[in-house]
Amino acid sequence: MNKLQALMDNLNKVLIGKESVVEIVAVALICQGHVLVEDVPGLGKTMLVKGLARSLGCKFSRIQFTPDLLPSDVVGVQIYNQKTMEFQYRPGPVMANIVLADEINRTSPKTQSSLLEAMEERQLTVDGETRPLPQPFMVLATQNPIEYEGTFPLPEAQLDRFLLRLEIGYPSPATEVEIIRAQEHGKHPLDSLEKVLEIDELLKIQQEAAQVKLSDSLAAYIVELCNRTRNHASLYLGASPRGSLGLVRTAKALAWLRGRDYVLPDDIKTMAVPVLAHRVILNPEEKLQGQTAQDVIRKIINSVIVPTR
Amino acid sequence: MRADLIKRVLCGLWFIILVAGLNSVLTFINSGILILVFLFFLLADLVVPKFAIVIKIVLSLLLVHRNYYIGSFFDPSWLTWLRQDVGKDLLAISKQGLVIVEPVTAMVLTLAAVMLMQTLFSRIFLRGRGITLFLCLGTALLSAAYIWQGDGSVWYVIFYVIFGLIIKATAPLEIGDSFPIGRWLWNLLVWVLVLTSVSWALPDPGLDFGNWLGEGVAWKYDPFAPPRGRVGYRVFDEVLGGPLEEDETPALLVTSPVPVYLRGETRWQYTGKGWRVDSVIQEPVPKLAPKHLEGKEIEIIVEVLAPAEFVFAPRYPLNIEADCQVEVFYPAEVGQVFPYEDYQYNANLRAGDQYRLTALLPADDPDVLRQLPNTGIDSSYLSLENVSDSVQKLALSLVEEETNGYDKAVALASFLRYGWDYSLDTLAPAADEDFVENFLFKRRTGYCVHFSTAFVVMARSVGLPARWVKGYSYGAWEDGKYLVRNSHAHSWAEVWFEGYGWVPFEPTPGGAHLRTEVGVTDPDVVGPSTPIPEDKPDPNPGPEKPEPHKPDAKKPGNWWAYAAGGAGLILIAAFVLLLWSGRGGGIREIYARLQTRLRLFGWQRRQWETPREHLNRVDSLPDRPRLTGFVRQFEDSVYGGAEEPAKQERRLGKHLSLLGLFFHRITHTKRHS
Repeated sequence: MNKLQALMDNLNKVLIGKESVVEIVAVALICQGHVLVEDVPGLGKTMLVKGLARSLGCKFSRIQFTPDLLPSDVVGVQIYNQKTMEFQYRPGPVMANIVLADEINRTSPKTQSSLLEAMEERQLTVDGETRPLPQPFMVLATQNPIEYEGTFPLPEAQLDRFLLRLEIGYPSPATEVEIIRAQEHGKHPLDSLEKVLEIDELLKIQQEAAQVKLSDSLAAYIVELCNRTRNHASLYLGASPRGSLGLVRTAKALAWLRGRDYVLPDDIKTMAVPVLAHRVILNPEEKLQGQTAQDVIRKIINSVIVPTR
Repeated sequence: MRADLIKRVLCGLWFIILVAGLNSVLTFINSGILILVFLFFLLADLVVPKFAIVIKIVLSLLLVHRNYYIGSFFDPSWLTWLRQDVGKDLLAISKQGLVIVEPVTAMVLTLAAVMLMQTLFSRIFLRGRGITLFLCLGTALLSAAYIWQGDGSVWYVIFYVIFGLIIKATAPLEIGDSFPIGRWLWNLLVWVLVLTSVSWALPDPGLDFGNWLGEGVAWKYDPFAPPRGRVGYRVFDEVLGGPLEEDETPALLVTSPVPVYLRGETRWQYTGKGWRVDSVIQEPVPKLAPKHLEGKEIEIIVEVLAPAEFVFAPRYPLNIEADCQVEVFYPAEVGQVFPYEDYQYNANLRAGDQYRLTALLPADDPDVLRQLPNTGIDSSYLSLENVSDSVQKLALSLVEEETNGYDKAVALASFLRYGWDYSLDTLAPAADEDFVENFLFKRRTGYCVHFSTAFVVMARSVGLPARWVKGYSYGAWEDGKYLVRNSHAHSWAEVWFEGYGWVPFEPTPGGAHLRTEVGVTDPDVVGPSTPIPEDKPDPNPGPEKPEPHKPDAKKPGNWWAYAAGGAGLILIAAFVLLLWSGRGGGIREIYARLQTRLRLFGWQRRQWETPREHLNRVDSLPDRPRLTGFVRQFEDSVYGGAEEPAKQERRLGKHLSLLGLFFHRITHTKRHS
């Protein structure tokens, strides 16, 4: 617990004033889930991921997705080694513990799917040869929500593979002043970060978090939340059972993170928007009226009765 | 819009208490009419806010016209009369202070005041501010009226304060349209029911909303309907009957050595419904002088406490001195008594006026009266017009054994005094029924008007010339004087004896014995020399002392009052049960009960809120540390499956009790919507 708290403190140093974002990233880490960060450039997405890698002391790589990126640029290639007279695998950038997939929607669906397969299977198949990915493996993908020209939007089926989607958002004016002050002398807080959590410890934490209790009434509550997304008038497509599973996992992780061995409805409510919002599709007319999936999920949260028995 | 509606309705309810309270003290208009008027005002504000003021004025004018003027409403000539009437009074007010003679002025002023107050009240109220201000102002106003007038009900003050506190406790003044209006209205209903129940359970709260639902079942405005409302001296007697309520407004303050009945007017022509008002018998000037009568002279000083049109005087006044102009309907010089004439003094008496008079109290010796014939008077006083046969037969059967007029009159009076019940709660006869017949054979209960009218009609049936008299009974002994209130307004009868004059008889049960002859067995009859038995007033006339209008101070009560009271008690019991019963129970039950209590103040957890979110939202709840600890325990056992905590640990503080929450609510204005 303390170790993870130290990690969160580290991240808070890098991403000032975004404690809730950091908490969700920590939840994703505990759940070994992939995160889609949807926000405009310059808000510290890369810094967040770098800070995470540095605090964990694990391998970090970054893939900048461009339209001409090929699947082999992601997963790696078999190269013929003339010396040994055989094909040798040259690992791609995805062979890392934490992968930052920047602007994932800028590349072709073919390349996207090569990454997404790795995300789901946690293994790579290159030229018929399957290779496991290192543990832990976590992808933080980013996409820019306002530029659509020359992009290939992720298909819904692939969006579902992300456990969480979050928005960082602009810092408050006071926080921004703090950020400016912190980097005034050309020194980035990232440079001073130290490794605080061993990978074994993280795996242990993951086991502990899975043991967190979820009462029957709250399980029903989660199901009801997901069920509502399937029947909601504003939604074209509701959340899949993978969504409710994700909600259980994340709620448990959050409960563990907050020092409890049982889940509260508050945990579920906190995780519902990041877990569910990217798994649903809004009706076109609602979209035209400026509604967002987050709004609808929030409405659903505020209409389902919280069990107190 | 919805929020606006709530606020207006809320403001309206509160305002009604204020208006009714003030009106109960000032008694300008019947409270029932006033409340209806106010509801119309409110409706006008809600439905057509732009033209509300026009509608209010037109409505007020309609009401004034219907009450005080005849002819078409659309014929503007009545407005001239209205202007003159009101103008006269306003002039008087500007010169003499607040004294109002014309009832129409009172009505106009009251309506104007209500209109102004209601507009101001709702305007300021709608801004959601100043509840405390209105609470203080209204309370001060009601208290001032109460103290100043020394009358009216202190319950208005109490109710105004309590309702104000409830508004302060529950009013969602900063609510938006997303506010759960139904639940809030439910809260309000519960509070109102509880308070109503409490008021029912308390002994006789004395709330006087007037007889505002009218007699019988349906309320219908009819200017010629029987006088509804309160006991008091009225000029209009053409339609009698209907339920009355006590009115304790002071009318006169009489300084007199003995208790005396004060006469106002007499009537002679029975219509079957009541007494004709404008019929006067032209009689020759009588040849009698008071020296025929033996008795003692007393001096009386009467202070007028409420505007009156007559000088009320005892039987046989000899001399009247007034500091205002008194017009005597009295066909001879002052000082001479004509016992059979309507010696009526018309005057415009205002509150504060005073008059002094000397009066003769004749001995009325029964032995003398028994010798006298009942002849030599205008035959109009024997008129049996409109008197039903059954009444005549009954009267004749009662006096079969009596040989002289005096004993006949005594027999009839005794029959009525001891045979029929006194009650103010009586229904008016139907349109096709005879008033006396209805009283004697059907209703069998009534008040002074019933008894005296029946007596007059029956006396005439047996050949005794009789007439109907109305005025005030002697009032209540207070600080050496007799305080005569509206509830002492009374009517009795007089029978003519030739060579002697008109002799009063009292047929109403519980009334003082005007004559010794009535019920000689009655213990409170002492001597034959005075109209009232005692030579000196009882220095301490307790409530047991029979008064004409209060034979039983507590009304027998009607079944629905008891039903409502019983229902109220059951409701209280249910409420108590709801909040205090089964205080044991598990932590879930304790939490549910806490929510029930919070719900009454709009502080409850909403269904989609988690206990923790609820706690954070209502961050001004009292005793937070204890509450937070309790919610943690609740979460532990409900979501974590932990063992229920020990009793001591899950106890909630007294700040979270109903009373504690109530006081917290009215002292903390922060709202959570």
